[in-house]
Amino acid sequence: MNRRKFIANTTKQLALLNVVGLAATQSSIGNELSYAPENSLEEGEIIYRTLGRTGIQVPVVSMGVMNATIPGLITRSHEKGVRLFDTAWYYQNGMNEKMLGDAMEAGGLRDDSIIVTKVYLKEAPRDLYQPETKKLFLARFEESLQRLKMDYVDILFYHASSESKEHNNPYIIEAFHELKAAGKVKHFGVSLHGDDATMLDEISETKFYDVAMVMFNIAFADNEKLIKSIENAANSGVGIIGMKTQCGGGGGYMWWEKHGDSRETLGSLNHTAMLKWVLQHKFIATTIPGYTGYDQLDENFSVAYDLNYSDEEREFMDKAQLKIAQSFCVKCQGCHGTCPKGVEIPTLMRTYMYAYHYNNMEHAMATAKAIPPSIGLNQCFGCDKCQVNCQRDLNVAQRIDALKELNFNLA
Amino acid sequence: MNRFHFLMFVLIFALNVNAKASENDTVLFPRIDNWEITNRRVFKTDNLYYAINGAAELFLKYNFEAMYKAEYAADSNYISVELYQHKTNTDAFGVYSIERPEEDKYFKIGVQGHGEADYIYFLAGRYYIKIRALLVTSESKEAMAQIAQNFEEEFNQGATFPEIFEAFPKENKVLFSEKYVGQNILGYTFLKNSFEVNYQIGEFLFTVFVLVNNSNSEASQMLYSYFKYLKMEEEIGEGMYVVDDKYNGTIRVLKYGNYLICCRGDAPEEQSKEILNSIKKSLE
Repeated sequence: MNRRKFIANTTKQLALLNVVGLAATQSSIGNELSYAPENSLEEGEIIYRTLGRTGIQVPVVSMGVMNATIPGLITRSHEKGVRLFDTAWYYQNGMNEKMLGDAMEAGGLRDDSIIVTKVYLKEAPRDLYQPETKKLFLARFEESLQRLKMDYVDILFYHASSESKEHNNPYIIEAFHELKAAGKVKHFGVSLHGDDATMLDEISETKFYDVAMVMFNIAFADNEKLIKSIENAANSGVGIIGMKTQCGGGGGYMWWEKHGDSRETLGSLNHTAMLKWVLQHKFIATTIPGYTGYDQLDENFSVAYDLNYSDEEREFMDKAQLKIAQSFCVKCQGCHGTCPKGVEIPTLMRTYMYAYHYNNMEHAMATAKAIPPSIGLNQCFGCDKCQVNCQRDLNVAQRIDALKELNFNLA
Repeated sequence: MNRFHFLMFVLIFALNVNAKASENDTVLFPRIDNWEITNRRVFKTDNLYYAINGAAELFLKYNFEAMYKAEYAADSNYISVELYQHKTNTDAFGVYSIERPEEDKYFKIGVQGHGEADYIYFLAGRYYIKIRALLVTSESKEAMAQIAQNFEEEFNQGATFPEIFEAFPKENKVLFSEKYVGQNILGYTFLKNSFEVNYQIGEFLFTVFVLVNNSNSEASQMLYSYFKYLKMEEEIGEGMYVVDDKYNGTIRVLKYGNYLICCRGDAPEEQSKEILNSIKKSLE
């Protein structure tokens, strides 16, 4: 692409971004004025940040261990400069912690590493708010320590909290206090899988959890509420770890992995670009990309030295940002009344946005459930071809199908 | 509306209700006396994350197709059942083998299963099935067993361990150590399809693994890529090689046709050569 075409395209893209109000977004890509580069370091230096009030200095790229199965990868990661290793009681039925523990022991790496693990209680008593919950939490953590072959972990997380009530369960809080008093845990964390913005606001206030793990990637670029909440939490002293930073995991929770109309011009994802986009938000202390090979390690960790985009990365981000802008329903209500069965399309498009753009399943479900059943999601069936007219040519039928796959149990 | 039309209406309505119930439930969960089946859901590649969070990534790497989930409820107890459907038996074995414990909690069900009083996890054909009870009672144990048996009969259909494991010698084999790893063997993207077993001879513990390729040239290419990465200059042909891999230790590789028969870890030289040659002979 020559310079003239590039400028013309960029202008068009920015114009489109303006239409949906995204051009002013603080975290817009390519806006170098909004980013104070940290890479004004001597070449070859890893960028470190402080993990909130824990005071832990951590490289901006850490390791999501969850899919790794070979100790050699841990050793190599440490050698390259990775220091924080994130695993969980639940991963690989406990074998993941065991592998990490074996690698740490064999390499003598423990003293120089930050070990994070997470205890999962979703299979536990349906009613989590019973005294037995504390016992189970403690028992599972003891299993983690045994597998890791460690006396303590640096940060213990409550795994996959979907609402504040869960991670503020008094029995869980008691368990955390006991573990800290026993010297088995240094800091407390919570990984979020729900209305993250709301939970972060609460975590900022209560100040119990020192670290929060949040899903954050380019698909959230326009989610001002989430970004503000993350920033506020960081400012209040909560260390922020970004997860799912490269839209990985193969899940359709990332709209562009699932929907052809959203990704057809993107081609393959530029992982370093996406990781840099996340880290250009300085309130993200570190990220935990999951990798299983040395090539992936090299690619991910290259970002730890330089957060500026290369030309190729910038081009990718321009396209990606444009695609995000084009994929949003702008709530014009133009589709209202165009379904022959009277299905409440505008609200379903809003449901889709909560589910697939914001990954807020709780809110998506609540929105879908609020629609009277006679005009709700379950009434969309039987048409050979969708008659709904969208003025932005969004593929409404595809989005409805995507919502059905979530099985919200609206009956 | 006359009586006939009314009956037709009821029939059609009933059929529609049942159709909707089965739309999301292409796996039939067996009815168990005194237990009510609730919370049936199906998760696909796009939304497995919502069911099991980050753990989903492991399953997705093994050609995961769908997870069928239901709960059996009785009074204050419940049994959760998850059926992970994969593309092939080997895929299902792969993820099962990564997750299974090394302690002996095993019993014969399907291809293989393990469990304790509160859970049964087992492999049946291309399904990896997890059954877990909240509270352990004689009723829950009986119900779990019935559910497991039902799925074994429906899905296993004579499935066994991947055939290639027959080629591995039984002597000195560490029990329950067979694994299938599909990709990124030893951390390298060019090494794939590894069937692995651990061995222990005295104080020496090591892993023997066979990389299965579709052709001789594919195997040669794989070996070439490995040597190139390690900056080794070796002629590629049939025979034994010794690789000094900085992050994986000493790797002994015996190239035989489509196969790279390998050994890594703290392996005594003569015994490891013997094992590799024994596997080669079994594959002939």
